Amino acid sequence: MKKAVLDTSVLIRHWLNRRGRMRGEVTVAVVKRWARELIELERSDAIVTPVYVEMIAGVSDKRDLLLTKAFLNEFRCIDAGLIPEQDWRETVRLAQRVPHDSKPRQLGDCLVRAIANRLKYNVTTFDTGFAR
Amino acid sequence: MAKIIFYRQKRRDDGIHTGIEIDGYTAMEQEEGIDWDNADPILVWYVELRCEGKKLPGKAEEARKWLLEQGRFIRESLVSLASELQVGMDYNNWPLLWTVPNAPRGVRMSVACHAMHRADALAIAEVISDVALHWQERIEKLSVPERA
Repeated sequence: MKKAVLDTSVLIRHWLNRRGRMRGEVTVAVVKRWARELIELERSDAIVTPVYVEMIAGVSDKRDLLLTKAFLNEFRCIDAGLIPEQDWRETVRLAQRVPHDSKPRQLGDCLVRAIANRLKYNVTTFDTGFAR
Repeated sequence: MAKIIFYRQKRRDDGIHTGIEIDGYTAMEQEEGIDWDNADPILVWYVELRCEGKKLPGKAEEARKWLLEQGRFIRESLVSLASELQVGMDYNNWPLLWTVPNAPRGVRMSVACHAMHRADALAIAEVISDVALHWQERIEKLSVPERA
């Protein structure tokens, strides 16, 4: 496996691509297969807690929640839900760095980057606004 | 089924990481320009050559030798993919996974690429051409990672 955290944008893009091609009913078995396809494609099953939370925060109903959780459970949360003080300090440091375009930083992006740095992982993302 | 993967990836802090993985473990690698004090782990792009087959070598030096022996075929395949990419591909379907046609007997080969920005996706053809151009020297420069 590659030492790269899959960001929310990667998970969402894959989910939407697969759902767009899907003709039948989307079931738990189907979304688990989608997750395994992504893991094979990216050669990584690593996510971090903020990615898990961002995915869950996007669900629109009970069934969507069930499917999203089934999808996410195929991945490995490398921080195991334990985010130490040093990650929060690093998150604050990243959040207070104003980029050239002055765009506001997102809590999730800064935290993902802080966790990835501590655990010596790269981050795979399609989010061009990801905190610098 | 044994797996050998050659990878080259660029981070947003301009660090470039090149290496060979055998069955999921880093067998050889080289880092260029990673500033660990100001590390930005976001991957701007990556290119991977993934090889799978029953008779692939399982040791680092043997894998290096095998990749060098396949060098001509691999370089030609990468150049061919780079030409296809120059025409442009739907960025929404990235990461790209391209099966290498006419791979050596008993081996399945594919090339995987990812780019963070649409602009980088357009430039990935140049990255692939560069991998092809410097195939031999980069493989030769790789070293066995230090163990903690």
